[in-house]
Amino acid sequence: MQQSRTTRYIGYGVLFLTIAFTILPFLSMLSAALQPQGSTPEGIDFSGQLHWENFIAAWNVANITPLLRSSVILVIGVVPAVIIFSALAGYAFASLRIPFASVFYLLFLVGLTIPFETLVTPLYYEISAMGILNTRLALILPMIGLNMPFAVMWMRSSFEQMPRDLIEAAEIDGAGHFRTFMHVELPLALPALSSLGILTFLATWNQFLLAVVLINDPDKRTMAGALQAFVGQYQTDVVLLNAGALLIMAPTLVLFIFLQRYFIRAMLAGSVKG
Amino acid sequence: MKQRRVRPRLLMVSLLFLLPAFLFYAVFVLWPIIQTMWYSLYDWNGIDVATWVGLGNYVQIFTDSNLYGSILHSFFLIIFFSIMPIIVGLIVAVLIKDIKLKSVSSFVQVCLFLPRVIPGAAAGVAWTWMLADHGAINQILRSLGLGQFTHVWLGEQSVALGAVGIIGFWLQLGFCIVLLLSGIGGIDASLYEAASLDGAGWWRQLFAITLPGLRGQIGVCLTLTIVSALASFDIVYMSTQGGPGTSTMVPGVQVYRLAFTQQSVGLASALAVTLMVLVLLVVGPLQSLVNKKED
Amino acid sequence: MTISRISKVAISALSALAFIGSVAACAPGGTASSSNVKSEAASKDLGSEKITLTLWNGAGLKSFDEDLIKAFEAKYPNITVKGTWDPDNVSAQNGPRVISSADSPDVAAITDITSAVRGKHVISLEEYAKLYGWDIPESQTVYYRASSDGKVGAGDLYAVPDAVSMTGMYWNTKVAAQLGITEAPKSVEELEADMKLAKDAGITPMIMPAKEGGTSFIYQALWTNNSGKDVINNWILQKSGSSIDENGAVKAAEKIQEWAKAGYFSSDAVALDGTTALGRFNKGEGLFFPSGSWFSSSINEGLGADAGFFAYPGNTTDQAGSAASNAVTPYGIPANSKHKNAAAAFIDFTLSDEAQQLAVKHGYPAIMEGAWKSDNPVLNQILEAESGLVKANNTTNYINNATAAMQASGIIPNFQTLIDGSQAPAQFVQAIQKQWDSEVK
Repeated sequence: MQQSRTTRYIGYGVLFLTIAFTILPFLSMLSAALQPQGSTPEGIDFSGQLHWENFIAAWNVANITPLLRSSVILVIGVVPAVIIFSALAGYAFASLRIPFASVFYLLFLVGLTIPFETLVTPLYYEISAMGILNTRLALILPMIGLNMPFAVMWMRSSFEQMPRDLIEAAEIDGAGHFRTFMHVELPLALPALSSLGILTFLATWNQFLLAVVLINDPDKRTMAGALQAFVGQYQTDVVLLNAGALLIMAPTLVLFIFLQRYFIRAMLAGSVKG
Repeated sequence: MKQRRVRPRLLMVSLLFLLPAFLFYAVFVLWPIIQTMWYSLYDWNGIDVATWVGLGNYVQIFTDSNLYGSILHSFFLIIFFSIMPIIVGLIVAVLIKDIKLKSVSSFVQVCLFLPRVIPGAAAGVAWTWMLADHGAINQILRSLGLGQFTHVWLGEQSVALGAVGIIGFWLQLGFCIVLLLSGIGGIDASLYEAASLDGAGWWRQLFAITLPGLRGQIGVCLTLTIVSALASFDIVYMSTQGGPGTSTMVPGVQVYRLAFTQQSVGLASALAVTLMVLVLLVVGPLQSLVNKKED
Repeated sequence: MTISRISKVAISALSALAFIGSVAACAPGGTASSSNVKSEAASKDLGSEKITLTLWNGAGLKSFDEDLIKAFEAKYPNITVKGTWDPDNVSAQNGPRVISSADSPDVAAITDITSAVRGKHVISLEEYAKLYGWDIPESQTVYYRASSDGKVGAGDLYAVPDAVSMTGMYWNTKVAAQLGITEAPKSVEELEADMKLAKDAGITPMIMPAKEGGTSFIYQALWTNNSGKDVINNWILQKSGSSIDENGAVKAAEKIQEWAKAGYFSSDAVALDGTTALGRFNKGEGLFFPSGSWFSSSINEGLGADAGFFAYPGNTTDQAGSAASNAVTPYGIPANSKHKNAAAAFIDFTLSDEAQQLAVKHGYPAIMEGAWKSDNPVLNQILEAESGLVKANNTTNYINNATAAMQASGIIPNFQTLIDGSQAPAQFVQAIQKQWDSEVK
């Protein structure tokens, strides 16, 4: 593909600015996290002594170990279910024939449009009536449901991008719907599935309000809730809050970097086949 | 729509594929939404017995300037949450696609995706300092000799909503880029080769192949970002709490306040239902973009 | 069928469903709360059976509560206390549901006394008060007395404060000395003169965290000076007919706006949060910092001997100063508590000399009279100011707590617009009264 040199230089310029803009808040957080404990830093400043031990202090103050376990359990309960269910439903929307498909699709859309905060009160009573309040299920089940509208929408649009001829070829070969789905479409959808996995993981990992309302025991809540340990009624521990926020992001970041290589490989493979 | 005889078995299979997703969704989202609609007709503190008020809560929403004003703010945020990230995102996605070095490209992707990795609340906190009087943004402006453009960004009514919008732009940008990139990856490479052979330049390829090929992704981006603008919560809650005055108040924060602080679950539900209907009216028509079969 | 038509159909179908639901079912709420609780007669005798008492409070109070629990368990060996502490920024929201749930804690902070009493989620403590002979200053319990329909201000006692939180003015005596100020101001006039000195010397006269409503503390003092404490307290206690839309309140708002215009507050006051404000004050960046007892340890650490505290002065030197004050934790007993006698014993213990000394140790002024001393000199100044104010009987509850959403929807936004000049003082009080009217029934 041809591209003039000027366009390319402008391109790199734009790219550089975008990345600088994206990273700036993280530098600001890191700068704040490395200041002496108990200080209230303002602005970005890496000139003084850097206090890396703040990360250990943040881990201990926020009692992160049990929260990490709770978050991991929650993610294990939620993410695979969301991926499987939404892949099935997305495939049904894109390649099969659901009666009243538009109505079903619109119903899913409704779930995206309601401010989540209002659902907390009815969910509390529903979970309470089910008798699972204060258990792990109280968080896992609703989180599967709450992730559904986005996930279904995501999978539907990626299945719709697939080359039709492949599927039709498979159908002519006499492959059943389930086999076409498993052996033709699902492998092609791997990039979409892995990015959905990351996004669902994030939504679950960062959920906080629901955990506070549905689970009384603070140790059974989520990692995102660990940040609350630094936000007092009158005073926020700015340094530890930043260190804690970076700690909470770390596992997600590792996961993303790991999946991202796979993500690109899958994407390239997909386009070669197409 | 094409009329074609569909075998009933196919309909059944389709429904089976849909069932698990819909079941969870119906129980944990649709039913609570119906409950919310029911609550919206009551004066209720969320705990004790409620009093029936009919449409009283809705009347209040359309007569109280604080309540309908917050809805207007959220529509303004669409510019920052939706339109800007998609335009910039398209430009960047197209550029990254052309970077041949794999390691650079994956580094860029990781960086761009970072904002999505951070909890919304932490993003709000980080940006609040950056936008503070002694914060990084003013630091940078001063070092560039642009001292006269500094503001207390979140403390002046004239710029606060825009400043909140910038946080939203930051948050949505990487997401839009990643989504658009995955779409570009799915576009048939032979289309570009054919176009090149025909002598189509970079811009013609962009408009003739890339943009149409990304219709679905752009539709999804628009839908999700518009929803996140209209139902925004954590960014505003963590950065301004709706202030100064009520200049950055949005329905998401208002709903939370009413339901949890003021314990007016009925009024909060009515505002949420109003917002839901408005969002549906805006994003509903967009679905024809997403839905290829409508052609 | 087009999408927009489908959306119309779907929306009307959903509304129809909601309507059917609303007609068919009864009103929401009021069913989940009652659990099978055996009634027990009020008694001091806790027997020797092993009891696990559950406690609920805000996370900021965890270390104080843990010390209390340790001392309590030493006194009652057969009782184990298991505490749960919710994050501070959600505890107020979570509180009403926590105390009303079927498995409520046995003793808990009562975050909203009105709804707790109206919904019968807490029990009256009158019997225990007689049994144990609690003798708490009336000025501190009045906010926790209520009639059976939840009207606060008189009636049965429903919660007992364990210590006091009180507003007042911190000042940096080193900065003051540089400006030639040797004494804390004894009147609003003197305060203004000192602020002018600071302003002229290029020092921020008053660090003002208006992002979190920090202006209300000094405003409340000015209003008390102008209108007397009963007007303020009646308004906070939601007495019918009371209003902030009155002359003294407008005058106080005019004063705040005047100070803001004169540049006496931090230039970024409207966007300044409490923590950053505290950080700046501790760095020596300002002369005065209107705040409260909750910052005594932080300020002692930050400024040491340079830190000072005084009660908000009267308008003139012969008018008494004032403060807003209420409980650090108002402990009550939820109706679903399974160990009410043990819970009452815990509450009684919080009033003991041992527990009160623990409160002082953690930086909270004690609620019971006594010669309390702390090794924190700033806290000692606060304790001194407190006993003076108790003698003058010139404390009020916080205007921030007048209604559940007063702080978030009334105080914070309207002080911001008062300070940036976009709202006139007369409109300011009307806007706050409007919030009051919308919540007081």
